[in-house]
Amino acid sequence: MSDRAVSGFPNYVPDFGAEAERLLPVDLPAARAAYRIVLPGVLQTGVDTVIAMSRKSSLWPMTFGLACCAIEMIGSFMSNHDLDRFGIVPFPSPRQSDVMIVSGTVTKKMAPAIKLLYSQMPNPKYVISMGACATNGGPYTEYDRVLQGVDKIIPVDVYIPGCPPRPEALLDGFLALQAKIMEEKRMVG
Amino acid sequence: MSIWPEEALVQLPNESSFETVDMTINVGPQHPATHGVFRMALKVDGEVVVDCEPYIGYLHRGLEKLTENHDYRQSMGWWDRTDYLAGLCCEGAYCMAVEKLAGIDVPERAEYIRVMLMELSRINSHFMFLGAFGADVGSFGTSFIYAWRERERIYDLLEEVAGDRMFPTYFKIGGVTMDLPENYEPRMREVLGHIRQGLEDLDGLLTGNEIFVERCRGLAPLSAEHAVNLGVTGPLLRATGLPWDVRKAEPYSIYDRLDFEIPVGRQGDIFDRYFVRLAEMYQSVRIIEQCLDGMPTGLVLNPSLPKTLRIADAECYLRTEGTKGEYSIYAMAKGGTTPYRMKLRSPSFCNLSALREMVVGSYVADAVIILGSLDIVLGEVDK
Amino acid sequence: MSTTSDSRFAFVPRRQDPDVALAAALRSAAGGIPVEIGETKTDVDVRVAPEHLPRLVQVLTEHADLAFDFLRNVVAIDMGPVDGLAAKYHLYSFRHGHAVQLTVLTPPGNPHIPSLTSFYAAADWHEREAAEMVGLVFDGHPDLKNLLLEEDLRIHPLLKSHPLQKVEILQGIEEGPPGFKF
Repeated sequence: MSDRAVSGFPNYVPDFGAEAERLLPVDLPAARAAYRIVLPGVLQTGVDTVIAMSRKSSLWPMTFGLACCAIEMIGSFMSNHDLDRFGIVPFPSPRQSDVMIVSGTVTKKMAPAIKLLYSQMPNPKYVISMGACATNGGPYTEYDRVLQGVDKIIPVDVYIPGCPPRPEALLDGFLALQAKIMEEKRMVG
Repeated sequence: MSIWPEEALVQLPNESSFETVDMTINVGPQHPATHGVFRMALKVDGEVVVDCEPYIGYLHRGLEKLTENHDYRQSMGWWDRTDYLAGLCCEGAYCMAVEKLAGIDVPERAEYIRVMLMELSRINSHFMFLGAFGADVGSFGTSFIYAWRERERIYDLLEEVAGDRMFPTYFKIGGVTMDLPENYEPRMREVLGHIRQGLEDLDGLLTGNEIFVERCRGLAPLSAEHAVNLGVTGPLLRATGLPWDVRKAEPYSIYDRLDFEIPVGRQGDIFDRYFVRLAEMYQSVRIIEQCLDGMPTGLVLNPSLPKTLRIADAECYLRTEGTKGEYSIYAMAKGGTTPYRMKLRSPSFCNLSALREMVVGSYVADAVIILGSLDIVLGEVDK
Repeated sequence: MSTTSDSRFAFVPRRQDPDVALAAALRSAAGGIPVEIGETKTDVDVRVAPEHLPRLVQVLTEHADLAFDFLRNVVAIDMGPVDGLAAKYHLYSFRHGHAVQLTVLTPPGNPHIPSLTSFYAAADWHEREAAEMVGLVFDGHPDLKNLLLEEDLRIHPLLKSHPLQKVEILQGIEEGPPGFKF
């Protein structure tokens, strides 16, 4: 495949420009919860549990529908497989959302936008990688313009396999995320 | 050069006394009007759009390059994800292109099943348009949820046939994978009844709505000659007055035996485009009923398919009517088990190149509606 | 809808097979332009050299019996080290309802083709995509910059010598679990 004489464009040398800098992972500044700084060690277990329960019951996803998985994601917000009953209300802006559902193929052209959106989300934030494309490039993984998984640039909490995953599978992913939030109540804060 | 008449452009008062600066608004790759990852940079002077530069390629996934390196039968998985609202229409186009190249015949029953499911997918895609367009114009969630109620019913039908809701890799080169399940016909007819009812609901919600009509009538009219020069096809071209549909003009499969009409608009404005799509859905229901009535019995897959598909030197350019316009595949084979080149001529790509002409001169809020009325799907645009 | 009174439109349904009468009409209309007329599985194919392309397209658009007013598609193909890069144009006529395919081959090392943006506004985006995919250069195009790829990239993915990336099955599993490194 890399034999240069095979193509009709002699002496082809690809020039990738500034791509390597654009594809570096997003940098995560350290964050501490306010109540940990104010009341260290006081009533921690109870406060942790209440805070975790309130976080998991009202996860507002930023709909980041990129491709076909977006259609199934929209379908899971609609009346047939209602996600609103879990407190999950889609919200378009990153500034007021808790979880980012990356649904669809992530290309290298889109990567800087994803990093920007992720850094615009306030803490605590979670990422659900929905579908095969966001997990590792999916069916398009061999093409060199496709980023092989969104976890190369942002940290991912839950991976949902499928192409596209059924709305019930997305629901299962949300339940797994809720379990994860309850579990990490002691860890990060 | 705007195509709007002079009276419709906004005249700013005492323009010479104001010092105005054009502002560039980036309607970025992520925005709530759910059309996918599309970016346009609008240069606005107050509320009026002065220039619009569309940027695409955020979903460029390499369909053509991957197809060149894989077997003919493996590539279908990528082709049906191009128009991801109506996967089966794309599968049909791909199978027909390869069958044309190789000279493989498809049995009658398979043709009828294919047309029936392709029209069902077309209805599916147009419901999404009705829902999303209503949301763009202002009925934030109502039209969306009404449309999705019917879409879920259609998804249930498709899942019964082949197992997956959106991309059942049901069509095969040489026919379809397996026959329809038992008692499919009464269930299909029941769903068609629901579709008719759903269309009436959405019609009643949107068409007579004063806000909808006020916003859409007279906005971004396109003349037929201009549309043809820009390469625009599909409901956009039919809204301008040209009754051109690939199913009637260059018929493929069994469309020349079926009886349906082509709805046509008058001015080419946004309301006409919406109405043409709505009327097309009724015609699609008619086609499905004719397929159900006239379905022959027999095989569904060509019995004499070769084990490895090798196609000698051949080229073809197969045109089909996709949901957004002319969805065509150019295929070139030069021996071997993989194609030498397969190109997708996607309708959304060509319709989107006409966006700039339509948006310049309108308000910012109207730019969103104009984009919505093009009904693009980014999988097709970016290939 | 009545279509017979619409002079822009002939609406003769035609199945997608090569049209022999059209081949004869093209041969006579081309006149002095050196063309080779062949057939594909669906269309009549007209092969022309890049320098004669604008004259041929002018004949195709202005001749009354041909009247090709619609540019549907432009395909860019890497034909290999001997044939160079090729571009195929697909045209259609709304008045008569016939279609044609034009083939333009460029020699390796000189991938220049005159642009058709003066005839068809649709050629704009098609030529931009063809240029970035295989490296063709369309002379006379107003703004030939990357369309599907990023602005600063100078790669041509559809060339046969452009590689695919490897499927990553194991993502550095020796150093730790796969995924983001905290």
